[in-house]
Amino acid sequence: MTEYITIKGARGGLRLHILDTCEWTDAFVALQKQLTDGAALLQGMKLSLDLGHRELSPQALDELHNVMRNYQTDPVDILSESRTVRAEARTMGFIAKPPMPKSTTVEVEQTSTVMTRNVRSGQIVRHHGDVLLLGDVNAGAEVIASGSVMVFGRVRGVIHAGAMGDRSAVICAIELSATQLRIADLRARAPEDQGQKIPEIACIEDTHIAVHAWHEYRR
Amino acid sequence: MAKVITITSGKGGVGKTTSTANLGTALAMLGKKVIVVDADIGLRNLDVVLGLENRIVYDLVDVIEGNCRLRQALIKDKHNGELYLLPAAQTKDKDAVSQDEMVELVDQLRSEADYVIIDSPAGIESGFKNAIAGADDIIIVTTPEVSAVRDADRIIGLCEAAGKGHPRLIINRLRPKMVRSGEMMSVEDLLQILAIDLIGIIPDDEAVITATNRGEVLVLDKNSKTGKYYMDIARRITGESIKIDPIEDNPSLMERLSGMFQGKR
Ligand SMILES: Nc1ncnc2c1ncn2[C@@H]1O[C@H](COP(=O)(O)OP(=O)(O)OP(=O)(O)O)[C@@H](O)[C@H]1O
Ligand SMILES: [Mg+2]
Repeated sequence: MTEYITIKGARGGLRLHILDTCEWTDAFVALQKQLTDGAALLQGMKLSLDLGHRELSPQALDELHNVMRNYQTDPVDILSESRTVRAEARTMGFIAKPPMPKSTTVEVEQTSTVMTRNVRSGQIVRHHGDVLLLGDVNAGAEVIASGSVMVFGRVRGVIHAGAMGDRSAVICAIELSATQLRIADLRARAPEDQGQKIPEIACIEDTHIAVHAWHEYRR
Repeated sequence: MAKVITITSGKGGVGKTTSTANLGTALAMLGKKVIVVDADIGLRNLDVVLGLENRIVYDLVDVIEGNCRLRQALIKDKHNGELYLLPAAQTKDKDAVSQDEMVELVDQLRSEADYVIIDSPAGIESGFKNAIAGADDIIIVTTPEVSAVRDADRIIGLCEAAGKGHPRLIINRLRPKMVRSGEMMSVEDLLQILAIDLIGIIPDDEAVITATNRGEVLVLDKNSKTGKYYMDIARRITGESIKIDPIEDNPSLMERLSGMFQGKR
């Protein structure tokens, strides 16, 4: 399958690179699907769309503008090699820039990150990649990642792994008393009896999220 | 130069005002010059708890709006010459003051005392933000209830985000008997969730309510255990290291017996 959209973590946000050698309609459909699948993660992040060398008609840009404006309130940056596209985009209210020269871009495909902190009630941590958290995720807090989430601590809040649709992502914690677990498009609520205080791992099995004791889990 | 400490909580009614009044009085009894500030604009309370409501002429908003000089608005306590109250405005609404104005006011107060203790309103809105804006240290008050702890956790996160270092915790209205019977969260449960330093534990005590109604604070009563717990917190604020003992009550005979059978106590 052609990868129409490549996502890269840039400093302070995400850059969605849209393939510039295919039909625009295909790329546009793929973009909309990506935005829907990854809503939990993407809606909280600063986004830029990298159109590469593609020339776009004003109508196509207008459509794109509508989609993005419905999607999130934060302005979305347009990166384009084409001067005409940039000029047109600006008239619509986009911030448009040439893509950054390669040497100064700080970006990587998917990174894993290590965080040493407690995520407290009302706080949301979003990351494109895997998250390794040394600390607790308290009730009322959320961690959303496109990869797996591993917590060396207690989870009482909400964890959303594979937030861009990756069903192979897992969630593990020293104590998994989460109010809600989400992996890709599936959700599970914590069992009513929060009995087990042992390390556990949650992953997708067929059509549901299964939780196993760490020592019983076989990959 | 005064140390500025804000007492806050998130959830309402957990004992911020009671704690401010008792700690302010206790610090004054230790010979410190103290100004307690009521930052709960529109819902002023601290004056009542200290029994000073009849003496109010000017308030915090008057100072900020320049209707009076700072010293004109400070009210001397009935019991202690070292304690002053800067009352909140009752008639203005909470948006009468901005964060910058609050910081400026607090800086003015710094040269007037050893300790400035600010009583914050409940919530996470502008009133709370104003109350912490000028603070050097933050003390969070919570009761051992799930909802209060959840709010305290939220507030701690917001204080950290505002660059207010490491808040310390007062656990108020603890009932040892209920903790023993498993009906109330224990100090350990609370600390495990909130992961901040404890500065003191105050028991649930009817005497707090009767004292409040008389406009007297409990630390003034030499015989009150609860008053002593507040005094210990005040000493910890001044830097003394006093061990925090589990608070006592008298376990009933039945409890002691069943404890014996379970091999405890
Ligand atoms: N340790 C205690 N034991 C018994 N009653 C208490 C205790 N602490 C506070 N109270 C009572 O609880 C009520 C609320 O206390 P207080 O006004 O200090 O809370 P607050 O956090 O300032 O409330 P608000 O959010 O409304 O400003 C009062 O009636 C007070 O007397
Ligand atoms: Mg109050």
